[in-house]
Order: sequence, then C-alpha cells, then structure tokens
Amino acid sequence: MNKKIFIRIKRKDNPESESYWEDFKVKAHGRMSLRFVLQSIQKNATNAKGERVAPIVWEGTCGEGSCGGCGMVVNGKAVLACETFIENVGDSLTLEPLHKFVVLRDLMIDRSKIDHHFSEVLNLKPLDGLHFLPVQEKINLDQIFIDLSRCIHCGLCMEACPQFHDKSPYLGAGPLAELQLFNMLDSHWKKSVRQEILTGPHGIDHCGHAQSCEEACPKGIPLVEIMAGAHRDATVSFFKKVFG
Amino acid sequence: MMASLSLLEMGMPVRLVSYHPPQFSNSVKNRSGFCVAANPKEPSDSPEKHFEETLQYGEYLANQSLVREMCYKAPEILNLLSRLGIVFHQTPEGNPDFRTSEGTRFFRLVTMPVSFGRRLLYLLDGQLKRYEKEGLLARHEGLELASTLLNAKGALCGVSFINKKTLSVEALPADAVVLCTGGYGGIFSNSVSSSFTCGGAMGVFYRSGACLANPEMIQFAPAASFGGDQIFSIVNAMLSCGARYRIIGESFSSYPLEEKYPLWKNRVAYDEVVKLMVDRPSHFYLDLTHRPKSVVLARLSEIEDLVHQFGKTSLTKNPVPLNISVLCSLGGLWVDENLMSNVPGLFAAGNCQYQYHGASLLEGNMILASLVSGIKSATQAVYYTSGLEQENISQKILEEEIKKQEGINRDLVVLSGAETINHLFEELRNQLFHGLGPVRSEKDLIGLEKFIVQMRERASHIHLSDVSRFLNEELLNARRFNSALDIAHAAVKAALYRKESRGSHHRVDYPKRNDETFLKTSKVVYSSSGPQIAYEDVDTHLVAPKERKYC
Repeated sequence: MNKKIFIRIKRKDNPESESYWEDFKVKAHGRMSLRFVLQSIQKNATNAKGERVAPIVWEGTCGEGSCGGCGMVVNGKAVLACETFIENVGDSLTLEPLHKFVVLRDLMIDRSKIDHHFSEVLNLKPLDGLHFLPVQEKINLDQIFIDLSRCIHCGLCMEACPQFHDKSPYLGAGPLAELQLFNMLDSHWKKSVRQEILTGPHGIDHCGHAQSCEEACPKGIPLVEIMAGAHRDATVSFFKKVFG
Repeated sequence: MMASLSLLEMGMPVRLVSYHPPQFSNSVKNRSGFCVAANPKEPSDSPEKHFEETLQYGEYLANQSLVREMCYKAPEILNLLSRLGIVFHQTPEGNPDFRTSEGTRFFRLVTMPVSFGRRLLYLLDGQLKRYEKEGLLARHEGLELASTLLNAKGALCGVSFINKKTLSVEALPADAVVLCTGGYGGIFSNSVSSSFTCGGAMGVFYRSGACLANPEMIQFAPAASFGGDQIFSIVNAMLSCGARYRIIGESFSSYPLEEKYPLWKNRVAYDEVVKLMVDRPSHFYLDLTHRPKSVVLARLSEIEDLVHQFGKTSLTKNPVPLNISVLCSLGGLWVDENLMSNVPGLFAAGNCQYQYHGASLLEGNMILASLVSGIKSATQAVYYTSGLEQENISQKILEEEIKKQEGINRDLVVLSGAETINHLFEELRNQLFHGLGPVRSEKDLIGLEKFIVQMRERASHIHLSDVSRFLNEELLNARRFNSALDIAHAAVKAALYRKESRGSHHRVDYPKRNDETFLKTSKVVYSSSGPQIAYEDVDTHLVAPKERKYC
C-alpha cells in the first residue's frame, strides 16, 4: 500500500557553498528502497512546497549493495541507500551526505579520500606479464578470507569510526582489513612493507576498539575480530623488532 | 582495465579515461563466474568443445575464428586470474572446483564465494595503481565522451570530453582509442545493467561514422525479482549449485525444463527458458531447497545475504521468484578480426563490440570475452599506431571543437519545453522492453520505430530543472539520451529487417531460423534519414552450422 513519506534532505550546490535543508513528500511502500525513493525525486523534482527544484545529486550505480557508492547518513546512521527500505526507517526521514568526507554536491561526496586510503595498503605482487604460467602458491579459502573479500570500499566503517576524522592520519578499519587480506594473498611479498603500514603512524594504534566499524559495515565483515588480529600482528611485529 | 594493463605491460604509456571509478562499473554485479574447459575431471571436455558449444549457443551468428581464439585462451586466462589474486571455489585438494552452468553439459564454470566481477575489478585496479605511482598511467575519472574528431582520411585523430564536475570541455589528440564502455542494456527497463549503460560513448562514435553490428541482439535472461525495484542476476550462480527451474501455480508445481529437455534439463540456453517464462511470467521460480543447506551456504553465502536482504527469504527455505530481464546487449560497434572498427584508430573491447557471442550469450563467457578482447585490442592498437605517420591535429581544430561542445551544453540549459529527460528515458526504457523484448512482431517493431521518431521530436522540447554549472547530471543525461535514441533506432530497424528467429531474437511472425538469408551480421550505418542496414557474411569456415538442439 503506497503512503506519503516525508524526507528532509541536506543539500549543497557545490563544495564551497553553504548547506541547506529541503523537504520532499514522496509516495512509497514498505519494500521500496531509499534508492528508488531518490530516483522518484529525480523524476519529479518538486519539493514539499510544490516548487520545482534541481534533482538531488547522489551516487551509486549497482542498486544491490555491490558498488558501495550510495553511502549516506539516514536518520543519523550511515547506510547504503540501495539496501535500506522504507519499512525499516519509518515515514519521516532525514538524509545527509557522509560527514567525514568533502561534500561535492547534495548527497555526493568526494571519494578520493576513501580511494587514497585503500590505495595506501596496496602492495600487490606485480603480475609479471600476461603469460599463462600458473600460480605457485595455493591459497586456502578460509572463511576469514571470504569475509575479507566482501569489502565494497563503501567507506561506512570510516564514517562510523570515532578515530577517523580530519585531524587523524588513521587509515580506517576498511583499509587495514584489506591489508590483512593481502597478507593472506601474498604472504611473502612485501610483508615487511605491510607491517610498516600496520605499525606506522597511520596504522592500527589509532583503533580504540569502539566496534562501530563492524556495526556500520553493510557486508557483515567481522571487523572487530580482524582489527584484533591486526593488533596482535602489530604486537608480534614490535617484539620481533625489539628482541629480534 | 585489461586493455590498459596489456598496453602497460608492453611498455606503452596509457591515458585511461572513465566517467566512473572502476568499482561503479557494471561488472561489479557479475556473480556468474567464468567458463573454461580445463577441468581435469572432465576428460571429454576441451577448448574445442567449448568453442563448438559457444557457437551452437549463439546459433552460429558469431565469427568463428575469434570465438575459437577466445575458448583456447580461456585456460591461460584462468592461470592469469589466479596469479592476479582471484581465489575460486576449491576442491578439498585446493584446486579450482568446476561446476555446471547454463548452456553446457560439461562442468566448466569456476566461481568465487564473493562477486567475481567486483574482486576482478579491485585486483585489476590494484595493478593499474602500481603503474600510476610510477607515472606510466594517467587516469582521468569523471569525463564523459562528447565527440570524436576524424582527419581528412576518416581516421580518428582526436576526442573531446566533458568534465562531469565542472562541465568544462577538453579536447585531446588521439591516434588510437580502445573503447571499453560496455553495452546498451541500460536503455531497457527490467535490465540488470545500470541506467548508465545506455551506449552513450558508442552512440557518439556511431554518429561519427562507426558502424553498429547486430544491434537487435539483446540477451534476455531469467533474473531474481522480489517485487521491489531491483532485479538480480544470480541465476547462473544458483544453477552451478544444482538449482532447478520450477513453476509454482495455485494448485500445481512442475519442473518444466526437466520435462521438456530430459538430457540438458536446467542447463539449456537462457532464451529457451525465457520463451517458457513469457507465457507465465509470475509463476517461474528457481529452486535450491532440495540441496543440502551446508552446501548452499558454503558456495552461495553472499547470494544468500542478498536474497535475505532484498527478498526477506532464504535460498534454502523458499524457491526464488524469477522475472524476465535484460542481461546485456550482444550487438555493438562493428569491428574486424583485429577488433578495429571501420573508423581507423577506433578499437573496441568488451560489451561495446559485437564479436564473440552471436545471437545468444553463454553467461560464463561474458567476462572471458571482455578479458580476451581487452588484451587483443590493446595489442592491435599498438601495431596500428606503430605503422602510422606522425600527423598532429592542430590546436585550432581542438579549440573549435571545445567551443562547439560548450555551445551544445549552453543550448540544452536554455531549453524551456514541457518534457523532462528522466521521464523520456523512463518511457523509452519501458517501450523498448515491450516492443524489442523477448517476443517481437512486425506490428510492435513498426510501432516502436514511430515512437522513437516521436521521441526525437519530444527530446527537443525538454527543460532542465538543474541549470547548475557543477555536477549537473541532468544535462549529461540529456546528452546521453540522443545516443540512446540512435542506438535504439538502429536496434529496432535491424530487428524489423531480420525476418527470422535466432537465439535471443524471437519473431512470432517468423518463428524459424533462416540460415540461407540471415546467417549474416546486420551492419547499421547512421544517417539523418534513419539507420541504413546492410548485411555481411559470417565466418563459418571452421564448423558447419547446424540446428541448436538439446537432445
């Protein structure tokens, strides 16, 4: 059954302008995703006062929780719009862009910081040519490997983490989890470089065990366990350095 | 990205231009895995069998030499992917676990526990980032292709782009472009492809003189649909686990594919499944409830999460409801055996070119074809440019093009008609799915062609609600709409002229395949009076075409 829902959206015309709120009323039913609601507003960009306005600008292409682009704050909680349904968030919504990143326009953020942080942990073994020789080392398909592979680089863990902000060099739970994944993929390749990142100024020391990363993760990655493992690795690495 | 990696491995500097970052590519949704004839437990399988089945599946419309090359390359690609860091489902011995797939009787499909497309994109992107740090790769994201520049000989000499943030136009000289912008499945409703996959860049080249080939070929496939706004391409992954197509009515239940095709059962081509679904669209399901819960959850954990999230159900408890969807487009830019289009210097790889699949796509071949064509087009682009005479396009021409494109943007912003671009796109998508859908007729196609002509007129009476000069998605959508209309018109015209049924092109008025007249590639050229259709013989010198049977 369709009903009218009230949506308040925090808008911004460009990175330099001031934010402002705009209200919309949209017909929706329980199983409609927020993504669909935003698309409805795009098709009929009329605010609650009946004025024609510019359509809301937001990102995300896949619609099924695979690309990580539609992260936003809904009623104070960081979620993916495509995986959030009206029946779970109620008839009155507040939508804001993720707070910890530069807002380009409306609900679209500058993802370069997320991308940069994930790139910092990238130390992939060179492919050594597009030849057909098989891989030398077999990798076990453990559950932790599968869990770590689910990351969609959405940045919601960074949004939720109290230690991740402008004044902190912390890479964030997602990139450090990805670092653990690469340790499993290439156990001998550049392990020392990855350990330097983990124990360095951007690394695991910043983690305060708030556990909000795991709560925010839309893919259910056990980040608490992974961060604990990273802490353990960092401690072992420290003792090896000191005592040899 | 595979084309870029190939070029970089050859020591060539690369400029990689895209609208979106890699993770927003359509490939993130690919969970179907990868077909390769390399199963040590299938001694009767071989790349030759893979080749024959691919041809048969596509009803022999694919040029055979390229398909053969792709199937023989597949085992090498499997090793390449393993070295890249893709870890497939494994046997207890730790070797890739080959499973069943649609379109083949052999156990040939390798799958991942997470989205194969997404992991592949991240790992390829990771390799490219390495080159970027070394200064060999220049990456330009957020650019939309606006126009192409051809020299006096009709060869490519430059391209112009619109910056999606600032809407400024930049024009760059280019001796060769490898286009990897995907297909045009997004011009249909009920499409697994995102709405961005509307053939924008392909349409720009088409208008400049590049031919399209087989644009009428669209792969329709069953997809999971839970009544919401989204459909999910998870069928092949479920089939790999032993899923069965099931019809559930008020008082009956049956397994129609197993009854109709006792030998192939649930592994027949998608277009055969869709033909059965057309008659009873709301009763078709894919059932995994007969399989042990532990097996299903071990292999399909991510899909179980998706089904739980979007459908509030479980693979192990309830059959998954299906709907007919557009999986992808099979046609695209016409390219020769070197993957170069009729515009010298324009190469195409992946879904934006027409080779490899013919009239129907084996889903496990989709990423294989993209990777193989990426490597091949890059190699051929290098050969092409190494033989070129140095001819620099003048700065004056580039500046004139910039002014021209900026003028088009300004003209769009001041339009003050009654239509909106989002409504026009929605209407186009719905009409195309209905008229150019899984079941086609002359009456529907003629009606659709008239509708497209009217759409062109209506598109000149739009207004933009967004007149901002920053991140104006509506303006870019308006530009893409013209390309989408061009491609839609080409597809409809080619479908009207192809008076037979072959693979995913099914005409109720011509239900039989006609090799004598139509074992040919439709070649479409743009003209202001409408698409011009011609035909080209298909290369069939390796395997003689025969009827596609499942017995």
